[in-house]
Amino acid sequence: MARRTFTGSRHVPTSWAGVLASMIIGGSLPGCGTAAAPQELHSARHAYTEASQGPAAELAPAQLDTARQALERANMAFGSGTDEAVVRDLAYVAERKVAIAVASAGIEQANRDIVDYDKQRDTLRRKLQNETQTELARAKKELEEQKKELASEREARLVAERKAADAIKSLDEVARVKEEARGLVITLSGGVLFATGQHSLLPIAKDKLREVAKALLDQGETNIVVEGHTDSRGSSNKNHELSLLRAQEVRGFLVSQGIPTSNIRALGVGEERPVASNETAEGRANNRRVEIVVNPKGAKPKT
Amino acid sequence: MSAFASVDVGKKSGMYTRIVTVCAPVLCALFACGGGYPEPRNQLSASEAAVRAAEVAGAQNSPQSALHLKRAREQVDSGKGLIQEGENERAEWVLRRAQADADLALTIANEEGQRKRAAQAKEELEQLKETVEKPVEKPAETPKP
Repeated sequence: MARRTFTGSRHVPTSWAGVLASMIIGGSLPGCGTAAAPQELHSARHAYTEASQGPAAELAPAQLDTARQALERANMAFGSGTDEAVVRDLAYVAERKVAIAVASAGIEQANRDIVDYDKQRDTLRRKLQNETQTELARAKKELEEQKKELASEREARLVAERKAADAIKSLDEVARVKEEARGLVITLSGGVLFATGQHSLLPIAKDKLREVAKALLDQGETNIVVEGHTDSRGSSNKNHELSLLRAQEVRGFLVSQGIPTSNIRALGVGEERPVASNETAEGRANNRRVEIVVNPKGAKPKT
Repeated sequence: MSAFASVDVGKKSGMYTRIVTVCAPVLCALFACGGGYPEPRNQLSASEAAVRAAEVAGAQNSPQSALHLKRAREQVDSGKGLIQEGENERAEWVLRRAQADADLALTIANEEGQRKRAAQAKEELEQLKETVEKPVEKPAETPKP
């Protein structure tokens, strides 16, 4: 049996392990004889060469070095003429150790991937959290603004209602105010406004109408009808004419107090719509009147 | 003085020769009876432990690791048989093979488990990416009162 020799075990860096394995496979080791190595040893050498040139060199250097040492033992046994069965056993073990190094590299790669994915996931989660917080803050701010707006509108509505109530209350003091189907009706007694048969306003009437004008302006009313009414004494035509003149006189005064002309019109009703009996003096006094209808239904102001 | 000493040395030398002559065959016989290759008890324990570790890691659950685990078990059984037959040296080598296969089965099982965990982590990351990249649906404007 030819004596085979092997250079022996010598620690080499993992990066050089492939070179060493190539030397072994290539038969470039000094003193290598011609006897064929067992199939197991060929297989182990081939596996080691592939592994040392793959990711295991970087990811599992310790395991690859263990495999290298196992392969060297097999090579030494082969080189020293040890029983072939033992060489095959050593090569078998070496090949498994190479496979362990490759699988360990797979584990390390998976570990690194997990770390990388976790980092990316954490970054994304932080980003998502920031975005959510920003969006939440924006929504909160918007909600606060809407609340403020609502509160402001509610306050404005309350002020307007209070103003309207005050205006009606002040009207009540100078005239009779009544909510009817045709609108809010302010009734001023004719006896207070005009002298008998006249259509010029009395001085006291102007004071009362100033109050009315102020209340109407406060409420911002945009549609007002001034109706003149008489009792039934005298001719109907004259009564109608007088009622119109009186309504126009009141309208003119209200316009002079700031009510836009486009918002107010005058109407002569005459004796047609008495509110009391014309047989008595009291009834006739009630029938002589001027009614200011605010926001009348179906009526349009005369321009 | 020196003559007496010479006589003593000669007596002692003869006595040693007799002892060696009598005892040597006995010692040789004893050595021949009990001095064979020892039973590889440690290797058997190591191989069996490696098989158990691979089983605990779930090596039987995937084809590649299951194959190596099967080989390891078979080789442990074979090693035990060889020990019974007195083939201790051969048994040790077979048991070494068994340990190598069991270690490999364990590592492959661990690798598969870790790859699965990595795949799961990747899937979770992709899902999160989809969530982040998905445009946020803003609620409809509420009509102002």
